[in-house]
Amino acid sequence: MTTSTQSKANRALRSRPMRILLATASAALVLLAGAAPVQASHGGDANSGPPDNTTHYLERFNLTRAASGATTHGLGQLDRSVMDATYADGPETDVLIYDAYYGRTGSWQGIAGRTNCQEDEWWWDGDCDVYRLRYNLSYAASYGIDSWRSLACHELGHTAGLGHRSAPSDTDNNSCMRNKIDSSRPRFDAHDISAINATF
Amino acid sequence: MTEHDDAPPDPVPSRRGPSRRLVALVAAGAVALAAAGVTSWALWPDAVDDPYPDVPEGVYHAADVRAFDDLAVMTASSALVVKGTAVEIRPGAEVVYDDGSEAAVTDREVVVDVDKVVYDRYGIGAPETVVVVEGYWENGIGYTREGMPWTEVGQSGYFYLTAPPPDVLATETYAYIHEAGRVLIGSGSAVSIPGHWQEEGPWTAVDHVNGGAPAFETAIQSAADAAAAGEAVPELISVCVPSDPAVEDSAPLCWEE
Ligand SMILES: [Zn+2]
Repeated sequence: MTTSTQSKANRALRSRPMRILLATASAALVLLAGAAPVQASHGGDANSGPPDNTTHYLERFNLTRAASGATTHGLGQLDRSVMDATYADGPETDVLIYDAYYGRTGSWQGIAGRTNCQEDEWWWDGDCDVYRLRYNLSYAASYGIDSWRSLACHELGHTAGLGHRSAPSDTDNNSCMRNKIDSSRPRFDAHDISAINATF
Repeated sequence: MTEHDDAPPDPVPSRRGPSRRLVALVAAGAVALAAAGVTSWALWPDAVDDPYPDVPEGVYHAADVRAFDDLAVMTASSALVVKGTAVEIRPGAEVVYDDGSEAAVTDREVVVDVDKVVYDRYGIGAPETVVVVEGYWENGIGYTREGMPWTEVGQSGYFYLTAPPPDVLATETYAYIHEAGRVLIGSGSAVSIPGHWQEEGPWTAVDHVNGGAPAFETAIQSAADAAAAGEAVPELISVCVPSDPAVEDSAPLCWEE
C-alpha cells in the first residue's frame, strides 16, 4: 500500500461502477493538467505485474504451521533483493496470504499455489498494490519442508514481479520460479534477485 | 506455423512509479469529481452490471503439481483426451472460499462439442460434449491463467482433461491436466499452446517450426496409441484431506492418484 487513499476502509471505492467513474474522472484531470494520459481504459485488477514499491507488508490469515513456516522462508528470500519484506497486519498490507483445502477440481486441479493482483494501481500504470496468495493444501499438505519452501518462494516471487522460468533459462536448475514446484529448488537464484532489483 | 501465446519468461522491464504526491492528487481529485458527478453514473450501465464479462481483466499465476516431459505420459495421466470445438461459455459453480478472504469465485465453463475421443483412460465412452473449467470470475472480473488466454466460442483443438477418481465416471466437468494440455488449432493450421511449450515439456519433440498442425496431430495420435497400449504409465500425484475436517491444521491424510 502506498497512499492513505487506499486503506481497506476505502475499498468500497473500488467497486466496479466507482472504478469506472474514478478512471474517467482521473483521466479528465490528467488531461486537463497536460500530462500523459493514464491507462484509464484498463479498469480492473488486471495485472499481476510488479509491486508498486519495495516495501512489502505480508499478512498471514490463520495459516497452518507448515504454510506459515514456509512463508517466513519466502519472506527471507525476498529480503535477499531490494525488497523490504516484513510481517504486518492492517490497512497497509501488500500481500494477503491464505491457505485452505481448495480441492482438486476446476481451476484448482493440479495447482499447488496461486497468486493474483487484488488491487492494482489502475489509475496509473497497473503496478500492483495488493496481492493475494493462496496455498492449496489439497496438494501441499503432502509436502516436505523443502517443497513447501519452494512453493512459498515461488508464490512470493510473483508478488515481487517475477514470472516463470523455463528449464532452458534455468540451466543451473536452482530457481524456485520454475513452473513446477520441486524440493530441490527452494530459493531464488542470482538471476531472480537481479530481475527483482531491476524492477525498481 | 506456430504461435507462442505466453508472456515473456523473465520479469518485467524496469519502470518507475509516479510520485506519491501526484498519485494522491489525482486520486483525491478523482474522488471529488466522482462525488460531484453522480449524474454521469448512468453512462456505464452495461459495464457495471455484467458479473461474467466476456473478456478477462485479471491474471492469476498458478504453480503446477505435475510436469510432463513426455506426451504419452501426459496422455496416459489424462482421464480423457478429446478433439473438439468450443460451443458455449457459461458460469458454473460458485464457491465461497473458507480461508478468511470470503472471496466468492465462479468457475468459467467452456462447453466443448466433441468431434473425436482420442484417449479414454477409464472407459468413460464417447460423450457428445464435455465441460472444461477454464478460469473464473470474481466480483465482476474475469481471471485467466497467466500465459493461457481464454478459449472463445468457435475455437477448435485438442483438450487433455482430468477429474479426480472415482467421480470421473460420473461427471461431465473436467479441468486441464496441465497448462500444456490445451492445443488450439487456428486458421492456417496455426498451433497455440499455453506456457513455455516450445522450450520445455511434452511438445518440444514436435517439429513446430516446419510441421504445423499436422505434425501435432500425428504426435497426439501416436502418444494416444502408446498410452492405450500401456507403453506409458500415468504420473501419480499426492492429494490430501485433513484428518479432522473441522481443523485445517490437523494431520493430513494423503494418498496417490
Ligand atoms: Zn507461478
